[in-house]
Amino acid sequence: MNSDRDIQLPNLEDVDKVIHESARLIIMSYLFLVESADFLFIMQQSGLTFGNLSSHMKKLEEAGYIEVQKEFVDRRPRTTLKLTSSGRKAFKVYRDQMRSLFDQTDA
Amino acid sequence: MAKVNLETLKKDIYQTYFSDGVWDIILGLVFLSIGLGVVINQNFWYLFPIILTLPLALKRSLSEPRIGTLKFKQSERMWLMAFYFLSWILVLGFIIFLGLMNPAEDGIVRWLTINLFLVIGFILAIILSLVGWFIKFPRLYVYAVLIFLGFALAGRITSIGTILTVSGILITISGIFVMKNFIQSHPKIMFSQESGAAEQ
Repeated sequence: MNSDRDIQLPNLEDVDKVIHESARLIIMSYLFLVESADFLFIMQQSGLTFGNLSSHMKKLEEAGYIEVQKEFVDRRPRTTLKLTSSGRKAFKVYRDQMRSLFDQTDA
Repeated sequence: MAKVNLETLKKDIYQTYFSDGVWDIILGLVFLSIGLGVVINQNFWYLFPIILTLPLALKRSLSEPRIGTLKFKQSERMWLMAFYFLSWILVLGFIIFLGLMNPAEDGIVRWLTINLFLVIGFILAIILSLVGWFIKFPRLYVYAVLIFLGFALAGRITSIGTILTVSGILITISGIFVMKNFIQSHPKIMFSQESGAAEQ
């Protein structure tokens, strides 16, 4: 039903489904705040299990949102995660969409 | 949908990164070496390169296998460096300013000269508090108060050397306790070379 004001809610179909999933949103949020972080750091901060983080990491990498670099440091494997510029841009767009959605529903 | 507050996540990142006590120990050792140097009239400046390389060694051997690694954004690293250089510029600038002025000439300059340690303590406390606020590191407020009180009392109840030594010991002990808790609460996590799976 229309009220006195027309509320233009963003079309939820436009919301990025890759980021919208809660585990991936947490991963993207942490990576948005730093330049890069390794797998262990994200695993500890997000509370995700090894397998869970691996699969979400793969999805984000396939979407081109994160860059994954694997190397050996002191004979130990290290996987470094970094947001790509398109990942950073996509996160900002998602954040703005969510913000505008909640701002309008609060009104 | 997960509720994400970027400010809270940022705070979590800083608290995790600084929860190992490494920087507390370094700060304490710097004060301790300056203080001991004054007390026994011996120059300990040659220890500084060793103290300043300790964070790298401790982070790599103790923290990284437990919490992983991260690289802060360039802008944040710049802010931290700016705080560091600002502290030196303020303290040295203040001392040079006093050296250039004639203490007998002006009431304020005279007061500043007499209360030199109080002002240096105040500058250091403000800078430590600003860094504490910026990196969400509440222990720095306690250190700021400790250092301010120490400098304020220097020359009144005991020498600056003793004050710096005692402050250094207290901060180092606090850092060791923080590090002990960190080691107990964060077991080492190794990733298997074959599967990559995590092992504790």
